[in-house]
Amino acid sequence: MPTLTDNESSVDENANNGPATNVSQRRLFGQLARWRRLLIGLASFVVAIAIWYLLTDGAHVIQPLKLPSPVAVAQRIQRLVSHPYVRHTLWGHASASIQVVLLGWLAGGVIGAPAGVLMAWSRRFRAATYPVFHILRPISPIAWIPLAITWMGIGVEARVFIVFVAAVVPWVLNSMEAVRSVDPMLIRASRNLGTSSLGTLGRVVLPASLPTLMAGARVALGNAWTSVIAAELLAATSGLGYVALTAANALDSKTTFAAMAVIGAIGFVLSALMRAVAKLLAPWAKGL
Amino acid sequence: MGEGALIVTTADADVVATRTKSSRWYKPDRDGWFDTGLGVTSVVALFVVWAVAAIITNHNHPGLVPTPVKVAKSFADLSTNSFAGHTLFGHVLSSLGRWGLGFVFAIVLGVPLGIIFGSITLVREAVSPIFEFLRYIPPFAWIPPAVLWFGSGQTSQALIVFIAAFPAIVISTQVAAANVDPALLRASRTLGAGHLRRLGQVITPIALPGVFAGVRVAASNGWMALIAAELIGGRVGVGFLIAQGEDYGATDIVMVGMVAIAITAAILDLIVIALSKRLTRWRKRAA
Repeated sequence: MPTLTDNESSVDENANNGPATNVSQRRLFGQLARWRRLLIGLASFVVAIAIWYLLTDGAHVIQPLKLPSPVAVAQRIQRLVSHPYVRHTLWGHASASIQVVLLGWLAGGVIGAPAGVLMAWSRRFRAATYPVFHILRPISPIAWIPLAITWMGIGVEARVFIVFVAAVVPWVLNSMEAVRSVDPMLIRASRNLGTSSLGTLGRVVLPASLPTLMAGARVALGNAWTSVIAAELLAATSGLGYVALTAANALDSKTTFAAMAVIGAIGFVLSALMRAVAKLLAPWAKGL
Repeated sequence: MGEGALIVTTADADVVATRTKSSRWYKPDRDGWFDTGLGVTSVVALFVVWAVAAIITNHNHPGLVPTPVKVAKSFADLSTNSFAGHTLFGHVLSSLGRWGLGFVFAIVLGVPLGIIFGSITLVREAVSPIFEFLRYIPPFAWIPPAVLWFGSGQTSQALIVFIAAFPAIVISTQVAAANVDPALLRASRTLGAGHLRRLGQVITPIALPGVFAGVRVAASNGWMALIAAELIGGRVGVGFLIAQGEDYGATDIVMVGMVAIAITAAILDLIVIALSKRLTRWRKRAA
């Protein structure tokens, strides 16, 4: 899902810098713009939380059952860290969610990435597998949940399966796209110089397609994190999604919003981690 | 897919890559009867494996995996007879109603907001960090608070569709509006166009294809989130249908629901594509 979003630098950042004549001057302006963005962003966060506080604890416009105040949510998070809620502490639930995500995401990569690369590289393989992939793909991972519960119960297996279904699609499609986007000149040159088809794949195509592969891995992780929450609403006895829904059914809005805040924070950290890994593995890639 | 286009932006939520060169060595899938045969064989193999799995498991766990034939029969049966209150068509229609409600709200609020974000830098810089953070909370995570706010009925399900669809529309509109060539804006201003005319006759047509890419993603995100909301609560809809099938241990009904969900998603996608082509017909002439 986060495909459309990752436009970190705004487009007109460099447009209004005026006549920056030398490089160091331009760099200074760039840095100033970055600081400005950071400051404005921070300020708007503070304002948003202040408005949230005013609406709840401040002026009591919204009743705490509908929306607890930021203070109450923060206190609840603090409490959940040490006191177990539905059998586990916050860490227990968070690590349950993360474990399922990582297992399903890795399984998706182990199966999906090689499949995608082969689908792009070998016409025969593509002809044989793509129709099947195309038939199964429109069935959304969410629609698999009832079947997964019937087959595997509400244990870890069902959730890992759902996450796998959600993650494998971007793994396959982006691995395919990654190989397809390699400059054909590179491939022809490599073949011309006598490298075999497999050698070209391993030593030319794969390194060249690494940035897109990494981006695909990130989309897959985003999908995995999204779908694990859905799976936990239905097929779980632990996990942050399970905590949020259990608390909502018990009209415990503080715990629901505490769980949501943690879900958002973990989603943010996972995305940032993937970005860092991508930079480490493919530092030449732009726009990741 | 636009072979040979300079930049091919995929409007697929799962695909990141933008191809900057037409990859001529890569041929699309029309490579003769042998490949078609391979494809048909593998699809047939899929159904054979399914049937065999159904027959084997039926020995010890009857009904765990229904045969393809049984699913087809249930499909025909559910099309005429009602299950859980409605026929299959009735459930799909009811889901579509709530999907439409959330989706229309997402467009009506998302497009103007995206244009504002895209054209006023200060607003974007102030709002987008909060917006971005909220996006790290998956739409499904809003189901519990929606239940708290509105119970598990129509309103909370439409709200979930809205939450799932809204960000894709805002972001694609914002990017599309921000990418309008400033020279064109200045030119239209020089020629005497006011703010409204520039918005209607310069920004909107240029940004429209980009907006539609987001609308397409939003349509499918919203549909998926609705199914999740229907699985959790409610009394009607395809998601409710498969949840009921699960409760009765009727895996054939669950599978009929899954197929109906996939077909509906595909039809919605086709409608959005057709609409986008119709509204951006001028593009072909330009290219």
